[in-house]
Amino acid sequence: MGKKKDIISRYMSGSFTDEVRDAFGSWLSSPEDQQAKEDALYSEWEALAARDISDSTLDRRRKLSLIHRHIEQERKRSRPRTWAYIAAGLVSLALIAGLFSLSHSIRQSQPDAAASSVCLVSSSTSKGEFTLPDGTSVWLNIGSTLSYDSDFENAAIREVKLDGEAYFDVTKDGRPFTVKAGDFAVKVLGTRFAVRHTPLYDQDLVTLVSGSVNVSGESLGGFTLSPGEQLSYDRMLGKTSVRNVDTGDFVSWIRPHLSLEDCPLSKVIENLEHRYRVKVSTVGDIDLSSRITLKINNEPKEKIFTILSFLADCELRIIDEENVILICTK
Amino acid sequence: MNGNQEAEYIQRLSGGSYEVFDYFYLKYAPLVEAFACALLKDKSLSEDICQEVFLRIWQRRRSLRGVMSFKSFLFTIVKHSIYDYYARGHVIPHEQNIQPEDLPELLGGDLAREEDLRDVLSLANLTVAAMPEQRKKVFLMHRRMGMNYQEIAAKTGLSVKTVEYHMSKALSQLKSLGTLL
Repeated sequence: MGKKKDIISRYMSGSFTDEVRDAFGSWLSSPEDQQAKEDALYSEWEALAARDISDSTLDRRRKLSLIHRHIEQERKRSRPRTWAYIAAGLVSLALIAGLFSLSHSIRQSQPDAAASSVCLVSSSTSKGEFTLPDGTSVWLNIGSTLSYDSDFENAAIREVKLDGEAYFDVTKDGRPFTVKAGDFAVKVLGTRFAVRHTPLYDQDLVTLVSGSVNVSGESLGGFTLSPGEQLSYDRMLGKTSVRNVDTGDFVSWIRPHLSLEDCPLSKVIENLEHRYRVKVSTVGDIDLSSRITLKINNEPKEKIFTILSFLADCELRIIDEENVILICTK
Repeated sequence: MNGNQEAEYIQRLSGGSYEVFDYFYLKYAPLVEAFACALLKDKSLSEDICQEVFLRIWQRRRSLRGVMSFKSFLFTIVKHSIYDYYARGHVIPHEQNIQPEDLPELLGGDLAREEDLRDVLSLANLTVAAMPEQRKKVFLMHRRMGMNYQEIAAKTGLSVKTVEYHMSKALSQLKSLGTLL
């Protein structure tokens, strides 16, 4: 064992030709004394792990995004046309931010589809504000989908399905209003709240601004939220928690303008994450309590994050494909 | 990261969490590349192996259930990927071209102990077996049959210079094995 360990260790730190490499590989993977060689290899692994290996963050992120793309392609291949079933018999629209009332135009464009559903889609670059047939206002964040049956107006219950992030201002009309998202349903009578359910994050969120909502699901149980409370459901762990939050941070994205005055960096990031539907990761020793004043008037995210990097005196990198933004020390 | 947190992360990954996958990738990919590079002596190949390893982990994430240490699990996947790479190359025949008594001269190392010999001898034999055909032939004609460079050149139709070149390559490769002792 002693000798094998030396051979492996010296080989790994030396430089050798391809022939020697092949010979070494053949010797290493041969069944003879396999356990002794593997033990030696493992201790090399541990020794290397204990060392700090320098790495370029940007290059590493780029490689990670290549894996993501690969995974995505495989997923598409195994489950072709995820969109097909949504597209069949319903209308999908990529919308520019603004006020839309869709009930008429959709019904007219689909005269035959009596029991079909309506699908509202916001594009990957813009948000949309909608008015549902019952008068309820919905703000759909970037890259989100909301669907409901076309008989929504006359049904006994109002039910919508959400994939993404949305803010609701529900009109009271005596019928309950239900938002279905992933594993859970949010039931209300008339109130204002936000729901997030997107693959970008492991945690689904329900944030209540005013009134009262009931959140229930098979794996969650039932929860009734009071204003200012946020329910977080971790899809991976099946864990649910409720905490008090400053709801403004979670719904500020619905307004075109945002003014943050003397806010800690952590709060600014929270607001921007929801506004631009990105994930912000901090690398290194960033002071999240440093105070920042920032005014936003619908600028693209590149611009805002560049400004933020000046204000916070740190370096910022946007990894667009993944919607990930890195904040690094300078 | 403590044990509980790691168990939680592993559970999340097995459930399909991109967040945890990214976390482990960013944390361990440099280690995987460095480890593969130390064994394969090829940077871009090691980068490919690393990507392949993490893709494998994603594809087999469900088998992570019950795994206690991600780093140990990762080691197993890396090891198999590297062995697979070795197996993908030509399989080197086990030939006994070098005798134990040749070793001190060829390797220039101190071969004091009998038990040390076995591994080095098999490495030396594998190295010769892995050489390109012509180089191997030249080497064996010289070492085993005792032919000089002129005789080898005449027999093989190569120039004396080429024979010299092959011999010096072969000898320096074997000599490099001496550094492992």
